[in-house]
Amino acid sequence: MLTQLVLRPVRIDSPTICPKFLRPLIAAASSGGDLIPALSAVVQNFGFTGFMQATGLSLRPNAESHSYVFTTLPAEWVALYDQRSYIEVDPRVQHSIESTLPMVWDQRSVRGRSAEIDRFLDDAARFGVCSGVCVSTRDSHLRGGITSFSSCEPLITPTVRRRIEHDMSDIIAFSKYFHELIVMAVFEQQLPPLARGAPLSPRERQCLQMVAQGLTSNEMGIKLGITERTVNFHVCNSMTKLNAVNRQEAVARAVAKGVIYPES
Amino acid sequence: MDQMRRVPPVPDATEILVDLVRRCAREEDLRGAFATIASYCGFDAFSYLLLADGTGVPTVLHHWTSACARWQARYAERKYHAMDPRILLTQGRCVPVLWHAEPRDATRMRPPFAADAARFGLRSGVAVAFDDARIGRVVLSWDSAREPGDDCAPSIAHDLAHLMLLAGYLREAMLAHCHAALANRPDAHLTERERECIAFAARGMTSADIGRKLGITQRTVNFHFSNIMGKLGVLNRAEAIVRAIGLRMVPPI
Repeated sequence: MLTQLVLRPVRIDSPTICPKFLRPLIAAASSGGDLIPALSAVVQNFGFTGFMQATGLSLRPNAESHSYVFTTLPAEWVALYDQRSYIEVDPRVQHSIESTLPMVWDQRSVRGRSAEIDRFLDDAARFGVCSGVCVSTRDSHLRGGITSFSSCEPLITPTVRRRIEHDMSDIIAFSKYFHELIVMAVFEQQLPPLARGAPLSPRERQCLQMVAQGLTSNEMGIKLGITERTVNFHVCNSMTKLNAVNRQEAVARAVAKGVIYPES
Repeated sequence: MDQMRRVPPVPDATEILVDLVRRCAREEDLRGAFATIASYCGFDAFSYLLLADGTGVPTVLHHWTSACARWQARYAERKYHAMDPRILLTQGRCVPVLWHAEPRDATRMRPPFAADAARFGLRSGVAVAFDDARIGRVVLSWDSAREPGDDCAPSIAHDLAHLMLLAGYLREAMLAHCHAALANRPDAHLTERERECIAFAARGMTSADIGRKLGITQRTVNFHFSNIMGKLGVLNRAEAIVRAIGLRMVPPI
């Protein structure tokens, strides 16, 4: 489940040494100023149009694990990504689990692996994410981040590839520094996931009621005519709204609140 | 075809340095390779520390350096890992940090680490940490005998991105040596059964659950745990679990 971040200005207390091209970004962060102008400048200099950073605590991100997302791409893309649980399909995420090396991808290199991935790519293309570079970071507190630069161009030409290779050390450095920024802005301030205490939607209530009856996600999906992944999406949201760590606790809390009824 | 290409491609000098490390079969050879790396980057020494984060202070599982062997011995003997700024400052961070052996506060007495390190030519430097799910935390440090001055930061910043890239490649090149060092870690003599017990306990299973899962009695499970705690040198099960995670004995979820 994804939480989209609006990065409030974050103050960096400890002085940090950084590559020259990152100085405007770090300076903006240290003074608590707006990060977007400096960030957009860096993204543009690398020759990309879109930027997304996802940070979470899970070693193997799935639909139930919690990630914070900061992006220059439209919010509808994040919502769609979350709703269709694309975190389990996105080839960039799968690559980051297996390898610590950066991934350079375009339509030619990732299309045709599976129908699911192709569907994901079609959706991504609607928002201008057709090719790009992806770098993953993990710090020693086991927080993982994926930095993704994207471009509208469907194929990476040799010129573009050469430029990426030339900039690769800067791209990797940027992803590490940005990961630290997110960590400081979010985890160290212990921002809670949003939507705590919000009322459950009808679908969420329905799914939770079926969990209380002992149905598995698969069975629920069959019964409701939706995919298992969508079921998990609804169950997860209800977990967040009820401030529960697992679905059993969510059921217990929902019953206690009178939101769902124990089986008669 | 695109996948065959090695990404990212490495500038020539970096390739040579990384290759030097890869071709070292023995630990003694690494000292020479590290010396070359240090001097190429404009530093006096290069150190590589393999750590196990656990309860309290991280322990050093192995310490490779281009500085002389007497420094390594002294480091181990005096347990300098507890006060090594390179280890303390990189905890939880993935970007490089500037470190000084000497604290800025001149009124305090010089800590033993600073005095000794200075004698062996390590007064300041740049350190960066990496974390690996299987290996643990590693800290790479380019060490300098010079006192940190105001002029060194800009010149380091100039090449910082390349230094980080080099660090990433060196970390991969050192994997084989790290695995060899890990074979000597404190938990290496845990039995298969003991490893299973601690892995299950880390997932929240009680002794009764573990017994049921493994087909043994609860009393036997508790017996395994008392052995585990003895071998890991901890006082209770929760500490044992934390130590197991720090030593990467528990596979990632």
